[in-house]
Amino acid sequence: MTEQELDILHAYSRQTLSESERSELEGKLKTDPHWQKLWSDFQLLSKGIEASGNAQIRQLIQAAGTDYQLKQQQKKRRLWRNLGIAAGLGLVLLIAILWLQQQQQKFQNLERSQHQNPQALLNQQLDDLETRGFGNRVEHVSPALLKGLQAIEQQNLSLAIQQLTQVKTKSQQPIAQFFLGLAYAQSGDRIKAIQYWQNMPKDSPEALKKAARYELSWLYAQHIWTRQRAKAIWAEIARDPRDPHQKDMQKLLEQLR
Amino acid sequence: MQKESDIIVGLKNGERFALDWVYRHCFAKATSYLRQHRGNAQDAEDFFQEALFVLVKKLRDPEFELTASCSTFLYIVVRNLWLYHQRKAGRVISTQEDQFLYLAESAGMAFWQLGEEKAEQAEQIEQVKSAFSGLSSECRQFLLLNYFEYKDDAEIANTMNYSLEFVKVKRFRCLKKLKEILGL
Repeated sequence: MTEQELDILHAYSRQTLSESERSELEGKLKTDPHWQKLWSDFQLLSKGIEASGNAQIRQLIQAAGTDYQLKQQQKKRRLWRNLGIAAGLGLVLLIAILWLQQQQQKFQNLERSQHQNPQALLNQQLDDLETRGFGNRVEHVSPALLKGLQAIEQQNLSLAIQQLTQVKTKSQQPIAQFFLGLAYAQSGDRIKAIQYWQNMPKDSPEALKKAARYELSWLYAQHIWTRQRAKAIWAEIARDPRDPHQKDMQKLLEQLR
Repeated sequence: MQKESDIIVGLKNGERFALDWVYRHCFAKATSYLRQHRGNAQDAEDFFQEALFVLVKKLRDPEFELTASCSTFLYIVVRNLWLYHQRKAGRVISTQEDQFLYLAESAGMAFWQLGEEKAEQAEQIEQVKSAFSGLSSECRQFLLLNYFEYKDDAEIANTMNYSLEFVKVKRFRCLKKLKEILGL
């Protein structure tokens, strides 16, 4: 094939030959074996080159496809991994919740069975206050204190709080403070109850201090975060031979072990 | 965010970012029919690659105008190819699907036939491909511009930084070399 022959075939394939040139070439292609061979070779080469170009495109597409599939697999793996982590965390959370519920139940049962109601103390204080105004022990008894304790007995807690906060007599303040803690604890205000019981005056009667310590421990026992403090107080009571709850606490701690 | 018009240009030029975009945005939709009709993941990958090849080839045709979105075009091609494959494998396809294939053939959308026409000369073409890879990279690039991208001489001269006259000389030399390797 000469350069001139190639130019003609190239122009024919691009349909850029003039009408007469095209007719002349098509005549040769019908009859002339030399031109037939040239045209056949030219077509084969063009198709082969085109096929090489197609192969390049296919390679590019294939590479993009492989990358895409790889990314999809990574995405799936990530999804499964995250699902696994989420399921694991969920399981841990579930176990933790069940454990907490169990612990809560355990301490609620303990409180129901072991926590001694301060009713006896209340009765004792009321009797004491009511008799102070008589006989030889003439002493001024704050009416607010009396009303406050009576209100607690009647479970009128807001009235009890209102009355007890009005007690100003120094000697009667520890009683008021203890029962204020009780009124708040029974009305569900745990923080205020803790504040009153934690800060009992130093010169409070021993029995009231011990009672406040005892009640405070049960308040701490209600929550997991403060349960250790409750246990510490119980251990303290268990070591105190003068505390009326010593034996109960020793038994309780034994049970907890 | 890429515009679809940029993607079309990228696909024409065989640019990787465009192919990646098409995979990300069209693969699931385009292969949904196939996956709902007995096709597995490998079929989806193979037929999508074939459809994407058809799209790139069609976009390079100056007379072709893409009137639908890429994903719709690819969906139709994957569906046609899959139905054709099913029919060829002797699997029963519904009358409606058969009608669909018939319409596609009538509308000149029987892209699967492209592959079959090439198959007739497959062996010889493979030889040319093999010989083509033995040419210098300059010759390969030059011949691809001529017979794959169908650029005219002026464009080739501009791309390769040749004179118009030298384009003809170069074409002759490169084809002659290719013929020599092939022993034609």
